[in-house]
Amino acid sequence: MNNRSLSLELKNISKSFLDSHVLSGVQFSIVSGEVHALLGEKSSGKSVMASILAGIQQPDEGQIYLDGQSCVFHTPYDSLRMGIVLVHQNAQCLLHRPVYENVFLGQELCNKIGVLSYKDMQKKTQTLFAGLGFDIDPLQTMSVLNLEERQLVGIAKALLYDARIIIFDETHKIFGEKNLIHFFRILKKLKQEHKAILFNTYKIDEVFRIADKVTVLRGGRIVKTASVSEINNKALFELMTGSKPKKSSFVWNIRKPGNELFRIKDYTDYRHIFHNIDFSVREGEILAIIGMSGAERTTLARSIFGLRPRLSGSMYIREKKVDVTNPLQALVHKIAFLPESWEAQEIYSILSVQDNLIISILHKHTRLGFLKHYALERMCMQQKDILNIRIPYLYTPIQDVDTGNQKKILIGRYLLAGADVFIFDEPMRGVNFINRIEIYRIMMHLTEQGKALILFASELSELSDITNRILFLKGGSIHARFAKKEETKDSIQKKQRVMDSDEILSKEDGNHG
Amino acid sequence: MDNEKEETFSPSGKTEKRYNLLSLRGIVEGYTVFFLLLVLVLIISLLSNEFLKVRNLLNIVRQVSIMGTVALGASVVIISAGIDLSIGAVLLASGILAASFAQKSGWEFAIFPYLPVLPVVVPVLIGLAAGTLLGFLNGFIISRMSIPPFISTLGMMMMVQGLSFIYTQGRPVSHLNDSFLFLGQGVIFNSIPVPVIVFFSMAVISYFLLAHTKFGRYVYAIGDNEQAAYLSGIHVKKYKTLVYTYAGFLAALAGIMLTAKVSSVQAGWVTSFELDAITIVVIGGASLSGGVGTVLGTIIGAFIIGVLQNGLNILEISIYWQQLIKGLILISAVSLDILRRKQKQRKSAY
Repeated sequence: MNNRSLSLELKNISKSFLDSHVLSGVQFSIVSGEVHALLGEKSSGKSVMASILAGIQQPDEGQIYLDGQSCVFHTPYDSLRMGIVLVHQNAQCLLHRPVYENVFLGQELCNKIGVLSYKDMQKKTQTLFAGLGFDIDPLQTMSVLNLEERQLVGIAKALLYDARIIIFDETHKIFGEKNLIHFFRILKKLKQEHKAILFNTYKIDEVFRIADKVTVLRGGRIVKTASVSEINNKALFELMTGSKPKKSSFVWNIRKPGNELFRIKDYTDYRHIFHNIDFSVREGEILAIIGMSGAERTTLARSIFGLRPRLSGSMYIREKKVDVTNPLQALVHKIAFLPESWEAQEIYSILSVQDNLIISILHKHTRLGFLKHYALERMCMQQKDILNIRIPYLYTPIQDVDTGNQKKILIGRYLLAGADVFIFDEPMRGVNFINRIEIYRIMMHLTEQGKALILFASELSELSDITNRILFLKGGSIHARFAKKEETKDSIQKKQRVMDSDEILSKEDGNHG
Repeated sequence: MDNEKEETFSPSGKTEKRYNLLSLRGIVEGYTVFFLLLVLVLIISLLSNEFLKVRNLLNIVRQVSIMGTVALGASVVIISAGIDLSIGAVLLASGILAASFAQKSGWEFAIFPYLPVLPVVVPVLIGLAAGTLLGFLNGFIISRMSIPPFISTLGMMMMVQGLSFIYTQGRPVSHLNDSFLFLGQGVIFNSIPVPVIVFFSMAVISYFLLAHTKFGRYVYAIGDNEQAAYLSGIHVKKYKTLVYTYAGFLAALAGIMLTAKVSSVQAGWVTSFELDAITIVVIGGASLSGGVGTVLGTIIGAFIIGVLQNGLNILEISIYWQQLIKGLILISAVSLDILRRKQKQRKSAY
């Protein structure tokens, strides 16, 4: 490993699971000092390619050449030894252990007789974090960190290896703008250190922000490899989706909202993560709440759904005061919540689609304690048509359904339960272009029925077309409010960008001082 | 209130709010199990003046040491998110095998009636080797064939029990050499029983392994999140095998001491050592879902069970009631711990 430079080449790599070809005949190469973007929609085979390089999966056909020599990676250990490091999409970590142990997992520091040197590991983690500008205490237990921070720890861990190539498998997918800037800064630094960097993404703008070269993957095939300077946005979109960009493929007509449906007043978290939050939503209205900090945003959403105790605050539904201190009460008052990690929190993965749809209304549809199967099945069929859920039949286990459809099924569950207020945390995160339009369509369907939607998100770009009103959350309180008529999309985005850089600057000042 | 606790770093690799030992609240919150042990000692010593006599205390330590040795192995297994139901059977089998090489020469019902008197090291090594091998087999089956530990060790338990019967033909193995009996009944420095010394040295070794070596780190890592450990380039299979091998070794050690202590051993004894070991480990604060637990906790857990058993005997409470109280202590210890953790979680951010 004395020779720090590297050239990695994939030749004719193919991989299939059962009948579906995930990768076919992939030719790919990367050299040191290059930031290479692997662009592709969901399930285009990006992650599989990354895990083949990392030794997690083995290709069915084809060879990997490292510095001209053919290599086989059987386990992650083999890849790591060759200096190939993968940072995963969802940080796999030891929740019960302190942060520094997670950073050093698999490469612990020992003295000569094999005794671990804790102090060294703590100190090194401290300096590593300080160098990267992470505000994380190395002694903290991992479970205390939020998802973004856990991901940052995963990145730090990768940097600790004597890596020659670092692969980021949509690591930055969950980052808000602030951490994204951080992430790109780290990539630049790695590039200066003459490492090869491969990052997977489905966002075209990221390619132009950071990458030198781009490879487009579609349906498991490499469609194009080009240097970024030679290609434009529109061409990339066409290559990635296989279709021309249709700006007007979906027309959103913002409806005139009806009466006030939902209002919260003076909400303050018991740990003051947010304070004095006031807002209301009307029937058929979509309200976006934009917050850079994932912690603030998610705690507010959880608090509304009764998942978190609060210091003060009251909630009104149709101008009647109600008390929501746990999720059951929230459901009784017809509030639905789709959290960011809904796959883990709300899906009964081995049950069928139908069971997942009807789980919250079972008690209403029984006769003498027995379920009314026909009535329930009819309702499910109806939801399937309304929401355009694409599944072969209702008894398919939900884990075999793709995530876009899973999300629709969840919305269907709440629709069946008669929910009026829908709270989404990061509704568009990780959703590809096609499914995004589907979700827009469903949201429109919801507003037509007079439901109120509250969307929590870290960035505005994907939501600005559909919202009636926008609130900005900053420092725990509502920083700015916009209604649709007053501001155009551009000026709102400009406002948001300015806020981002403010935040980062103030942060850096704090660090220096 | 904030002055009472300070953030310290404990060498077991666990960052935890440490509480001032002088404040009662600190003891209750920081060391639930230790507090439970103190309360138990207090109650029993108030009810009986026999309890606190040196003779009796030594008796407790002796009782605890064999059980505790088994529990040390079980705690390593449980921290790695596994379970070993075969340790009771492995313990007996190793004891039987070792004892069969330490029977008095010329006794006609011995397994090997004409075996010359061997130095005590030979039967001990044979017993230890057998236990270690069985533990290794457990680990091998679990890690290489991906059979859940509950099932594979259940199968192993039955097989080892069967083997013990086949080997002894159902006869007890007794009439053991004095040098072998010394391992269970002898004392060193005029007062300290051999099993106690063995237990404490194994406790120190286990503590060191778990808290200060890579092996220990990886045991916690595998228990906490096996996938994360694998992705970090750790040989998960190798370490899982080692974990069960270690548990088998400690079970064999305990089996030899037990056989020497009661001077005889027989296949088919109902010991329920595996369940007692799990009880001790869980009372000591480990979680069956893995990643949590300490050697110190296990030692305290062993003493809680030992003190309880001894105290109930002194107070002449019937064996039927003893069983009931043991179960009660298990459930209350664990619920206390869970309650404490919930409170801690409330205090830290979501």
